Amino acid sequence: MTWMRTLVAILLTLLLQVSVVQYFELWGNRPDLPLLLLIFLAQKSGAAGGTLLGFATGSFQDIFVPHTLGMNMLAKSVVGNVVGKISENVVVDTPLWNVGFIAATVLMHDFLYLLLYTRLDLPRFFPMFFLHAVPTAIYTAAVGALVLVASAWIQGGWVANFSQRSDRG
Amino acid sequence: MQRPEGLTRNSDRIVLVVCVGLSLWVMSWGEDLRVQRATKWAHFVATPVENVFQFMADLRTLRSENDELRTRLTALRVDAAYVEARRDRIEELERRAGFYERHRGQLRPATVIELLDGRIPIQAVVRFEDESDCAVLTPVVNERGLVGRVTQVLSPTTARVQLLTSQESRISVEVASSGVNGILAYNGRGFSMDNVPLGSEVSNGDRVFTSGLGKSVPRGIEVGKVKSVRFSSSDLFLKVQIEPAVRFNALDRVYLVTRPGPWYFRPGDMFRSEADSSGSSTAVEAVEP
Repeated sequence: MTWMRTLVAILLTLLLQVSVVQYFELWGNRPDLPLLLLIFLAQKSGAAGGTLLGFATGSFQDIFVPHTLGMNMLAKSVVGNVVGKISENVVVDTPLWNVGFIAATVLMHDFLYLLLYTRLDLPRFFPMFFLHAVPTAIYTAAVGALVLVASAWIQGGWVANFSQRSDRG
Repeated sequence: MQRPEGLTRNSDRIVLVVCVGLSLWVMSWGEDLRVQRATKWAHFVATPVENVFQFMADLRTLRSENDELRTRLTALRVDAAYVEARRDRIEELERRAGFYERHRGQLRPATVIELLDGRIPIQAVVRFEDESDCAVLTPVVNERGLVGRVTQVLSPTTARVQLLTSQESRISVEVASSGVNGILAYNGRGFSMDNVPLGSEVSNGDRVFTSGLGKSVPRGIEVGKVKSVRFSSSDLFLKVQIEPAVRFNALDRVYLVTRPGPWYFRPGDMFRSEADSSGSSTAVEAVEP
């Protein structure tokens, strides 16, 4: 029933995104929790799993905004695939890498999404990208860092591993 | 078993191509079709979630109501135990005093099928559920108190009832708090309790019950309460106005008292005599004075 739990997690995250996250808005930018969840899930699922998860997450997001139907599906499918593929091939587990990876993924997602949204209208695309996508990527990466720290604190693994590695280094 | 690397890579690509293809296909739809289908899917996805939240809300309400009911049940159990203890005590005292008895009695349900004569009816025709041992002068009550008496048995399942609002009706009553006796009558404008001597202890709000002295109606059926008490030095009796317990223009279900109910009556009155003479198994036991 892993897929069921995953589905519930995606739905809950979407619910959080439309209910709670609006109260954490900074200068008009919000962290993208569904994308953050997709990154975490795709890292464990591989390229094919990441693609399907991205497609599912995008579908759920899109059906509530009919005007952009299909855009989130496509952007998130590609992002899920890329994240899964990178995670299969790159084995780096440092906090900085994780945070940077999240930020880069968010930028890639928004890049694709905004290209589709603006229909390749570059004069519209660039301002939106720099004024919206970049701050969102930073904000999402910061939230991702918090989630990672919280997760490590709960599991007691990552911080311990990191400090051990630092001592050895 | 591990899949070959080529197959894995190919399946990744196939999945990606399919997902991207589907996304592009969806994006190619017209605006109306997109809105229509998205609304349908959103409804499909949101309904179970809404149901879950609704279920949780219902569950919360149910729990709070359940807690409240448990609390009330506990309070009622305590009350019931107290009332039972008091009843035992009362029965014990009655047994020692020797002049009251308790009997479970019997009521026959009946439906009022006709109210006769005017805005405030003075007669009613009632129909019983089944053939009843109804006789003339059988008292008729409802959940509020005494309604009247049967004056005519029309058929095995119907009877005519004279209501207390009839000016010909006279019922022996007593004030519950002081035991002062009187006659309940209706004069066309209101109820009065007649023949109450000056100096009797009667106050506004005192509850009035049948006294059983007339022998046609058992003792202890509620009639109403005292509305006002007036007197003048030239009169021999108090003028006691009674507010009836029963609403006579809204009668629906009534009960024929075919055997006295959970009220008190004196040994030797007509009900006991009837019970004894009929040899019924529910006959009242003799009471030791």
